[in-house]
Amino acid sequence: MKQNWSEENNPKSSCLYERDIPAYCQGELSPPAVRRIEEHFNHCAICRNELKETGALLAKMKSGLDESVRRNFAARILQKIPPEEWEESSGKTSAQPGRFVKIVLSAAGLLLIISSLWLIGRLNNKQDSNAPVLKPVNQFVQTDEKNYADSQEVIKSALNWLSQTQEPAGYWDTVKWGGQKKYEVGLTGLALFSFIAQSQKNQGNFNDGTTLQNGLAFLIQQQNRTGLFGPDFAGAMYNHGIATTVLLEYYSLNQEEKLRMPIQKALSYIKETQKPSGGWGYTADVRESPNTVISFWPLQALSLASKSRLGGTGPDWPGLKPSLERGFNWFRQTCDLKGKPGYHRPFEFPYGSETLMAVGAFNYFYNMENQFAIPDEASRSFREELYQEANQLTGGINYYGWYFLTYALYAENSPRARQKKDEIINTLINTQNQTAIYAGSWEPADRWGEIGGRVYATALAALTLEVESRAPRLLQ
Amino acid sequence: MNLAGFNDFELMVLVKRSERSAFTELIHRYERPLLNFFRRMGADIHSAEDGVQETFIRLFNYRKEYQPKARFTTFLYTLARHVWSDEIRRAKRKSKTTGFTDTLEVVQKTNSLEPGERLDIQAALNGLSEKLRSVIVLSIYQGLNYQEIAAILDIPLGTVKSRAWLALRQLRERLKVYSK
Repeated sequence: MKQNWSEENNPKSSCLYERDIPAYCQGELSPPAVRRIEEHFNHCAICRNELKETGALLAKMKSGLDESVRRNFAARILQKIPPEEWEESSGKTSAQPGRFVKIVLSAAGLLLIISSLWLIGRLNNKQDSNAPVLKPVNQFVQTDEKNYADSQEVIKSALNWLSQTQEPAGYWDTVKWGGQKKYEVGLTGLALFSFIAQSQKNQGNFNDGTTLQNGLAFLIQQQNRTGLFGPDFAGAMYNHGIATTVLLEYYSLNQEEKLRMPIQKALSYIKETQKPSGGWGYTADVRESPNTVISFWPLQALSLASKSRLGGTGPDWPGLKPSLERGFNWFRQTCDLKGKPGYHRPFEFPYGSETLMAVGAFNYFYNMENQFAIPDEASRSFREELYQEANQLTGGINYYGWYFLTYALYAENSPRARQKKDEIINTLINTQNQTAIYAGSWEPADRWGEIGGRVYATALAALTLEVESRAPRLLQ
Repeated sequence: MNLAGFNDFELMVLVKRSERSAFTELIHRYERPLLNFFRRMGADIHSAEDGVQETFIRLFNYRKEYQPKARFTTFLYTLARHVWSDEIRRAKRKSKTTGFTDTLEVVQKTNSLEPGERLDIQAALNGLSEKLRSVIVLSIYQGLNYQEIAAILDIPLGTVKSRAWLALRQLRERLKVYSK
């Protein structure tokens, strides 16, 4: 039943436009209404003051409470649903086999389960009983543990694990290591980043460059006619953005001519799939709202391309600069007054705000800061917000968030940022697996672990540890 | 089966077929936003977890009724709002001092605070009427747009806009008074 607004206490507003101000702050007004109210602000001191106070209140309200459920919460909910609900429905949707067929299928299934368990035990991704127990950064005791100086040894061990698990064709078999097949291209790209960083630091390639070259060759083979790397599906931009970025990062150091054409095609694909508003979404459909999580990677690729001197892909490449600027403008529109990006728009955090803040901070320090003049006051409040979110982000395992956060903290470079960065690095150093076939890897224990598996966890942990050698180059 | 790359519509199609893994994925996606929805509405942590649990159980029970005509979040938060309303009603009936009833007491206490007593944002939020608080929680903390909030609360779009204005105005006044 529709309820009427008049049920509420309804004080009078001082100005006709006053009631539209919250809607204006939250991006809920139509473009003509936005133009009208902005014109009105020029003449109305009451509404200007109202705008200022509403904006301040909205920013203040975001602070504080943002809690997580307890571990195994999903399992507790699933326990409340009778098992027959699942079994019964499954039966309805499939043909009913005869009794004999059922017995044979059951026996085959049992055999399959037993052999799968054996294989899993041998090969797959279960956490080893001797593996270190993962715990939040802020629960880590800093004494009697490996320290920062050990990071080089840990990185080397991670690269060893990655190079040993690379398939002969140059990719990482993500399914074998607990991830999803469709993200194989992106995960291969993530793994290659750390080999690039290491080759630059050591003035020579790890493993004679074999791992890196095989991986790059695999990525190029995955590009289709449209320029897209990997399969075309919702989420394809993760693969594409990461693959394009890794090729650009390698090309900027080595200028290998064979990479030039694939990079150009990849950048063209990025331009063509940009939404009219300037961001990117899961699909190329223009009606789909872009989101900041997806948009980061194509933006990163365009930013790297614009900074490099690669002739056809350099700053003078037609269309690149406007595309990048539209992307940055859109990204800025998703940020609240403190500079924190929302998922589609300000204050929207369907999956929590801390990872978005880390991604936004990376984008701010490594891409946008040199492109736009950012007022000191906005910069200060942004840095403060980053530190607040850093405390939240380090309350649990989050390799993806930690990667972006560590690089952002490196760039921010205040004493407290350095301290938080070192806490993350210490945690990674002390949680690397040391046993058997997992030695050198990390447990895929965060919320994206089921998508990316052990390759994802290890690639991002290694890349995070490489911050000291890689970040200065990215900041140039 | 791992389904993290599927969108909510696709997952609900699988949940309708009683795919356990699809339902698990939806829980992982929305357990935290829902927890914060109940917390911002004023529930204590244990009651909020109960609310999240009840919402997901209802989602499962109503899965066959779900039609992809609106956003999935509209469906989910409509269920959550009903869970919240039911619990408030139940608490009032039983007049117990546990769980959601604590919330009512907090709200009442907040309304009777004296000037000078410190009031934080959550306490100020608790002091709003449930109608106003719902709009603020769904809009600011859950990031839903006004159109979607109108559908969830079953009120006209203009009412959402007006309630948002009134709620923010009341919050400002409360925070001003009680922070002195």
